[in-house]
Amino acid sequence: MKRVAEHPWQQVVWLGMSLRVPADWEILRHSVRDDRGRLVFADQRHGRLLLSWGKCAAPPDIKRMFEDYRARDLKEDSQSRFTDFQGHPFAANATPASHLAGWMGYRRQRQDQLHNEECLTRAGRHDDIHARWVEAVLPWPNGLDPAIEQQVLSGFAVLDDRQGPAHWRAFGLELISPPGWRLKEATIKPAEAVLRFTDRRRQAIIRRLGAVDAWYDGDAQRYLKRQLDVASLQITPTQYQGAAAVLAKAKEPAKGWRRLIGAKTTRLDLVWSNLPAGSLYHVTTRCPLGEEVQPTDFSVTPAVPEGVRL
Amino acid sequence: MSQGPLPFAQLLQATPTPNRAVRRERRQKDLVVYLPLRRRWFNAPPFSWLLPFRTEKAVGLDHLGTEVYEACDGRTAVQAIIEDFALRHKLTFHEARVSVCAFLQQLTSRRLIVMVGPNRQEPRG
Repeated sequence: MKRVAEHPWQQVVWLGMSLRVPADWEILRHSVRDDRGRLVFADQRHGRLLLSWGKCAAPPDIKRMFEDYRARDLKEDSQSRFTDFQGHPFAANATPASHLAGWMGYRRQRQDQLHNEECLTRAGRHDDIHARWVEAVLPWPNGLDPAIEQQVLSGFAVLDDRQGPAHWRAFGLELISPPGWRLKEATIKPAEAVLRFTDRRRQAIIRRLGAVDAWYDGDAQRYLKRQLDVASLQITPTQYQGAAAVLAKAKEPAKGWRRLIGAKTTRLDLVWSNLPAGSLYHVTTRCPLGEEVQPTDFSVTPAVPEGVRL
Repeated sequence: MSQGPLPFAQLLQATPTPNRAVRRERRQKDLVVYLPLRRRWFNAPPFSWLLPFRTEKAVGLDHLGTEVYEACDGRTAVQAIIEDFALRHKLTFHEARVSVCAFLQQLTSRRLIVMVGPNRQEPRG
């Protein structure tokens, strides 16, 4: 348990799945589709967790599935040893007592070519709420750490956000999107995370821009004017999350064929910075006239590891 | 000397070492570094009496670039440079890694630094 206590932990919430991982595990690959995708976490040097999911209306034959996994792993290396989460020899038809917090799975141990012990945890569970099969693969490059394994797997939860607001927490952002909005795109670059949500013809873009000490002079209005090349821009100073913010409203020509009939959209931008987090937040909504959504309808806060205060 | 790309683990342990032939000129927060150009046959007299060939190439670095370039002192490993950069600008390790490694690659291709691999630091006797 000592090794666990050394790590601050962070919560990640993505597509209705919530998990707790050590704070130095970062998402290096992500998917935005809820029917099939994956999240790949890595620490500074190694891949640490592959969480993948796929549509699966009813719980599959889990025992058979793990027998197949084991057969595949054995085919790769016939000397592999398989144990359950308690360290007992793995049996696919084991009782639920050998499961861990709803996960069925095993630990695979084998010797690599240099005779180093190589260990991997493979676990799976059915997400009844979103009707999908979720699989977690945890390689242990520095040797198995049962405490981290236990905390990661037992920290996983499925959130029922199908009807109400959806919770998201990743890439330094914690946000709650209003009901009905779906994540369409997530573009992650160094010091820039952009999440695009849509709800029919309405669109919201949430940006977190990092390393503000290097480029931001503290003037949100100037930043906004540089970003927007819109003639009819109305800028209003306001407050958001206890910080000074700037709200801008503009009318833009609609996208696509609707532009031809002279249709317009309302664009609303809310910008504020959080200097202790080293970030600037920029929420944009683009909606047809009369269907406006306020940027403040998306609750956006910095996501920091557990126990860290800004 | 190896010319191929270093594996990731070795890259983190490598030490970027500055080219000693480079001349530096500070301009407020930014830095201009001058790299001497190789003298070719057409740079020599009598051609050079007629045409003023440049003898060095200047590369301007903004303050972030300066920060990384100055950290390349031949003693600090890439991993430490990334960690310092991440800490200073409140970035995650991998955010900083992508930016810093891309920049180091540019510095290497412009011959301003060389990457010394972890097992090649000792000079041969």
